[in-house]
Amino acid sequence: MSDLWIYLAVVAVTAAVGLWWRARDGRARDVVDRFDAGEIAALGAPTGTPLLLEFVAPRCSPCRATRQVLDDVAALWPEVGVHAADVGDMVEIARHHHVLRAPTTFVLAADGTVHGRISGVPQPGEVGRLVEETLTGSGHGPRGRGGVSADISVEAPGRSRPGWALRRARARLAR
Amino acid sequence: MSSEPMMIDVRGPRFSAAITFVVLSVAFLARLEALLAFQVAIFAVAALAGLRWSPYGNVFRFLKRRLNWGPPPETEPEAGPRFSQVMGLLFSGAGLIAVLMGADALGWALVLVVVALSGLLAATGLCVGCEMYGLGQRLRKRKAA
Repeated sequence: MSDLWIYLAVVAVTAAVGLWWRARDGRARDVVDRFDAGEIAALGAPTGTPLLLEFVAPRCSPCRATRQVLDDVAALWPEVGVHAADVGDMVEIARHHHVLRAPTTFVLAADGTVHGRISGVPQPGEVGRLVEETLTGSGHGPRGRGGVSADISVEAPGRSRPGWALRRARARLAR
Repeated sequence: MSSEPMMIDVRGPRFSAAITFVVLSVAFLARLEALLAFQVAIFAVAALAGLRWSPYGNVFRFLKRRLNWGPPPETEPEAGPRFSQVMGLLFSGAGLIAVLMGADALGWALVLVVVALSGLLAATGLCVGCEMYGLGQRLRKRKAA
């Protein structure tokens, strides 16, 4: 009988870990970090502009899915750039910023300040929300100022394809 | 530099992990060494011969065709999942040896590790083995750099 309790305990702990991971995966995390101009130049990314910086690895299909999300967001905010850097090539910079997983996305302000980082494929609305906060210069920008973020969060529940939600939001903005 | 990797349907490893979870759960709760040995053999085939030969993987492919589960929502290189099969083989194999040698507690504890990780993969898609593999690859690249 004690076997059963041990088993249930293991399953419970595993379920807790699973839920914790699912909650974090693809969600933005607040970090205090900055990419200085030298690093951004070394990465081959444009300096002095807000940036969606994605660390990728070869043969990583979530990295491609993430790139699609970032491109969709950048299409909505033309002043924001998108750049992908290979973790294996940019070893030192990745290590300096504790990049362990591919894809890892950083949302950078024009001065290189990190306004959020996301591991895994971003959840719908996460990148758009961070970009809005970055561009308005506020740490905790209001959600749903009649803008893109709230609509994305409401319209695209769970882990549905992010591109779809962003395309709809874009169509809505264009009207 | 390296050859094109074989890409697999991401649902395959999850399906196989679900079967593994059930098999090893039953083996643990009923203390069935034969069932544990069966699972070790399953791991061995997939780890040594490749995922194409994975018995559970073949069940998945069969059901996918029969029940019309559609094209893969996403594909991944087989290297990560294959490494996970190797890890599964090592842990469950060591567990089986321990149990056969009388170290029940240790042996079944090792089996529980595999239960936990296969359950995690089946339920959430998180493949700890794959993540470790990716990390290992990046660390090796750093050493070479």
